[in-house]
Amino acid sequence: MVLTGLPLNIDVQQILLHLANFAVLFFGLYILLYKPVKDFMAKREAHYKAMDDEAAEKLSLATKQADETAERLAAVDEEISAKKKQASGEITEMRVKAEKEAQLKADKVVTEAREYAEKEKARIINSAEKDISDMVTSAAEKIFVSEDVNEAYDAFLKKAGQKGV
Amino acid sequence: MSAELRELRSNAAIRIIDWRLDSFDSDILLCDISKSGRKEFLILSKKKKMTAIIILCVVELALAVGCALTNGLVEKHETIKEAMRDAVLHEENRISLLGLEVNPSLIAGFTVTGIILLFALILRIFVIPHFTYVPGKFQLLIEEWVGFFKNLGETNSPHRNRFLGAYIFAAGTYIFIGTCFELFGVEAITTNGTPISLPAPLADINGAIMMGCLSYLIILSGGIAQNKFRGVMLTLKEFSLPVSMSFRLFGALLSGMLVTELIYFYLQLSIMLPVVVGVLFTLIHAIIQAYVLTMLVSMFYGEVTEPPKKKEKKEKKAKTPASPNDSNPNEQQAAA
Repeated sequence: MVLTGLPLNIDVQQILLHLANFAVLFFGLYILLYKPVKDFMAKREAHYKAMDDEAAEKLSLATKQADETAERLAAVDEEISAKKKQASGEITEMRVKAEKEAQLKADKVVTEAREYAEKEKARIINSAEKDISDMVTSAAEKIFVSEDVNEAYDAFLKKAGQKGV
Repeated sequence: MSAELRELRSNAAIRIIDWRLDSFDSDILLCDISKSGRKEFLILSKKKKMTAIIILCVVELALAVGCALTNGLVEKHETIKEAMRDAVLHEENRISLLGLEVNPSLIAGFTVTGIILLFALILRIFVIPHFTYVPGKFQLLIEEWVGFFKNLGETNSPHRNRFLGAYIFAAGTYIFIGTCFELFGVEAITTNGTPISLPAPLADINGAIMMGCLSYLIILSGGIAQNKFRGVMLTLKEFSLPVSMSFRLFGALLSGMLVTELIYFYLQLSIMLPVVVGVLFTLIHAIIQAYVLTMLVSMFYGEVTEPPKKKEKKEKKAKTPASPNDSNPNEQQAAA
């Protein structure tokens, strides 16, 4: 017996036997239970962490896409607004242009009409002058041919009245 | 919940509005029976519970009478003084182990180790391979069992805890199951030829010393591994730790065993009282002692494995203010 005679019947040999017993228990429990369960828990934690990370990544991607979409929508809105403004400007410009063209055309028509009228007037006057000259010539001829000037003048006026000048 | 109540709950025609227990533990239900809004109180299970109580009282009375009548017939081979003295010192009742005369606690220790390892082996073969990510009740229990000690180690010793977790898991399990083991009253034959009920493994001074000293050595080894010489000094500072841990464990478990022994020695006391003293006290002992030792070990382990804090260099504070805004407004005015 090792170290016998200690108080309270403390026995080193039995302490060592208890120690050996506990060592067996420790290693047995570690191999059979503690390590496998701990590993499983770590594996599950890693699994859920990976899922969490993946979800976070997807969420971040979705947020980014949503931001991008919002940005695009904003750009499209801006573009639409600019195009509307541009179209409105163009329409105004076209209207002004059309008005101007119409004005020009109207002016041209008026000018042409005036010119035509002038020409007509001139032509009529010219033709009237010719008629007058003819009438004057014929009247003169008649004056010289007829006996009385008064008769000739009356005949001239009569003729002139018939012509309606 | 009574079967009657379960049956009522499964009945679609009855809608239970409220449920409570009365002073006789009878289920009182406030029910809507007709579904017309008419509410009625139903009292269930009162008869069954009263019958059970009466039967229990009759059985207890019969046992008490039996004890009183057979008290003189029981032959005791030792007095209470001898039994108590032997429970502490283990001078008389020793058990032969391969030719060696050992204390019954050592045999209890071997038995407990065997039981735990067998249970662990069964779990390892049949349960752990079928673990799922969403645990069932039993898996949750096992995970909680392992996770509790793992977390205890990680919380109290954040710098170094891998070995500590495994150690306190084994120690806590051994203390808890070892203490509960005495409840079963497993018999062994002493060298004298008399039967003896195997005590808790750590109710023996040798087992308690082993656990206390081993815990101290584990703390010391953690200190050396993490902090080298500083770790040794930190551990040696707590030189009373092995003695205090050993004797706390021994005293606590021994006192429980002595009370149980005292009660069982007198047959009259062994009616109903062991339910409280034997079972509840032992269970509480088992939980408390397992928790106390593992907590102490993890705390001291955490303390000695803590890396040394770097001394902060004292910066000399400049007497002149850092910026004009920091200076005294009166001084600024004076300067202006």
